[in-house]
Amino acid sequence: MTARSLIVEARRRAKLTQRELADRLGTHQPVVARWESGRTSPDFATVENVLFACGLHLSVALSPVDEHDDVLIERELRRTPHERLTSMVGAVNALGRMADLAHG
Amino acid sequence: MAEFDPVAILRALTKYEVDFVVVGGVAARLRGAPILTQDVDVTPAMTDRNLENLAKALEELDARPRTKPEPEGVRFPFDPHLLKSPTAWTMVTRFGDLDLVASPAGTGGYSDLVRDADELLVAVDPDLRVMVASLVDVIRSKQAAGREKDLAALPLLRRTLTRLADEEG
Repeated sequence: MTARSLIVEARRRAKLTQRELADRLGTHQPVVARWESGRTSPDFATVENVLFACGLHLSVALSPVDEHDDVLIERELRRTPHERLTSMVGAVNALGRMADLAHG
Repeated sequence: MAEFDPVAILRALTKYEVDFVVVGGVAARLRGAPILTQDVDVTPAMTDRNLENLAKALEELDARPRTKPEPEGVRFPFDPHLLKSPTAWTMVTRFGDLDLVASPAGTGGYSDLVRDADELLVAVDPDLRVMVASLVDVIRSKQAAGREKDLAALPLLRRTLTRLADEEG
């Protein structure tokens, strides 16, 4: 996720043109165009202002890295797409049967 | 409730020559993300001919729209004209849940998604190949949807994408 992609997505969701967004921010359309093209990279506070101008706020959370995820990813990537689907279906259906048993 | 059989759902769509891209959780899984999902999300091409084929496939699947008060679905004759609406259809079929999403959030629908999709072998005996959205597009869509469950899946999807990029790089 980059500042550029956040701004593009926020403006799209707010259905604003670059000029309309610039007006809301008290700046000029070329400034917005430079952010969206990646030619300039706004700082964090500016991105928050842009998102606010689009009626959105940025939700950021810090979470510890779960290294177990890497093991699961590694295992999946060693499988073919067909094997990935088969193992998922097996797990989903097994969980469903367990839930059925648990609920009598 | 029927056991989840996404392959049977995809075979029915393929049998009736429906043009579609698999999106959502099944696409993410097929791309290597270790996630579980209980429904198949597909984005069909919205041409008249394709929607006619889709309506036939839905009939064979005994697809019924599912709602909160009717989670097992209500009988409903799928008309190709109705399917043309931009609504997302959430359905239950003989083989589990199927969601038709004309324009997943943050995407331009079938023509947008098919550009970066790949045809993957998803079943054997007989072989079944279907178009599967790229992991980048799945992430893009989940980001744009912004629902809690979508956002919760993002860290794992992004790590899978990073791992795939490392593999390619």
